[in-house]
Amino acid sequence: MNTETPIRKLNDHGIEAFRTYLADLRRGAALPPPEHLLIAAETSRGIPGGLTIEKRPFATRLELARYLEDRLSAVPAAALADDIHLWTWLSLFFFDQVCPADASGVRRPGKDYRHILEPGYPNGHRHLLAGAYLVYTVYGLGETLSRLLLWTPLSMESRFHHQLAFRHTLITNHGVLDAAHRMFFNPAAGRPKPGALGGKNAPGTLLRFIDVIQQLDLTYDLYSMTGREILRLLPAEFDRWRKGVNA
Amino acid sequence: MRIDVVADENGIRIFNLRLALEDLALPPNARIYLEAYHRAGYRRFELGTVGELKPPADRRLDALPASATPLFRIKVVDRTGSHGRILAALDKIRPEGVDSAPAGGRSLLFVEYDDLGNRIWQLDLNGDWPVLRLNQNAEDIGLAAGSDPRFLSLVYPEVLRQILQRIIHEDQHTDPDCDDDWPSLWLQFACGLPGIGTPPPDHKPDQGRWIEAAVESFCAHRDTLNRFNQSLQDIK
Repeated sequence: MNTETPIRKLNDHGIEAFRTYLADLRRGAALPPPEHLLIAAETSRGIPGGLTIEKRPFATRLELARYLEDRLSAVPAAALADDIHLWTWLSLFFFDQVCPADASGVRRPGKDYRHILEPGYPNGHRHLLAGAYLVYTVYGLGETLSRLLLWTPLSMESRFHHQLAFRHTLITNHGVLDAAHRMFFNPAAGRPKPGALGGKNAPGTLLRFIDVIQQLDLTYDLYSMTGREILRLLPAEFDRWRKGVNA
Repeated sequence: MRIDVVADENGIRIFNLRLALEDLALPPNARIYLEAYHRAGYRRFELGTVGELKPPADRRLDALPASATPLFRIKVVDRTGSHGRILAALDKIRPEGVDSAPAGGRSLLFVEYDDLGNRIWQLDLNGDWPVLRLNQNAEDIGLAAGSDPRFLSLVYPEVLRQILQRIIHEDQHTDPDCDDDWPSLWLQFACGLPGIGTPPPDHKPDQGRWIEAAVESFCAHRDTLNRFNQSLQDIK
């Protein structure tokens, strides 16, 4: 049975201890998450408001983002987005999901910024929890438009998320994201269509979509356009995705 | 054009705008949009048309962090066709005044207040403009950052060094005249220091020496050592 845990923040000592743990994992140590950092007064502090959280499983980052929006709704999203101490506490709290051990007990944490928030450009969106919250709540993409970016498990950042959330002018533009969603997402499968990523400069793929949108952005006010209108601006290389899309 | 960021009667930050487009020969029915942004924060406002400018009643910047100074982008758009075409645009506009304090048209460094744990200050070069972040929990930190000779002499030379290292070593940008983005403005500032010419276009050791010379010139120009010593004498 899941129990409610009061949300806290790691302090600077807690963050550095967590960073050391991540470095140990990268050196091959098979260590359990240092969960004592979450509650020790030397490494963390409480926050006002009585916010609580459950250690429950999430199938996708979208599920997590939906849950966090609900649990953190009492705090203005703009105040949360850059809160290094809170997001790092949450990463440690959910560490078994953001960095699960494989069959042999090995955890591969990747770069620190996946677990310790580095706000802003270029790594802020790459935090596995804060990045999902940004997409769903701060950028307001909600249920439908978030699916293309947040369809993966908590431990994995999709390339759609990485490429689109990395670019401020794209991630803040719902019309552009709606166009990408309509072309590249398969709702029945709950994941992107095969071949949507492709190789660099491959016609009609995500990276070409980004190139083309950035060119169009110099000429058209894309913020005032719907996804369907943007689809109509795209060149013929995207026809295979537009087939079946009511553009 | 002038943008000011001020607090309304409820303490919520709004923008005020003064805009003159008469010289641009734009069609009167073209629509005007203003976009405010800072990191993840973004808000877009409709300002009416070129012929009938109508700033909105709701000019709140509540989607943007209260401690941050947003940048602005303005677009003039022809909406008569099926797709909105941009006729004129200006990006990375810095507000002239923030919360009633004039920021200056060529402010090189924004100041923001944040919870930095036990650190007093931090330089943030990952956003759209360099930001000196100050710990909101440090007593009188705004006063110290603005006028305390010890803070000025200990912090700002290091700020300058970090910014120049980022521009020259990491971004490999050495041309002070190539555009009006912040790296070029900072290079212009450094090149204007007494005895400092333009930075070497390559050879990292030479560039490193140029950076150190610029920091030294900055300190000498501001009489940093004497002011620091005097401030210590004052508290003895």
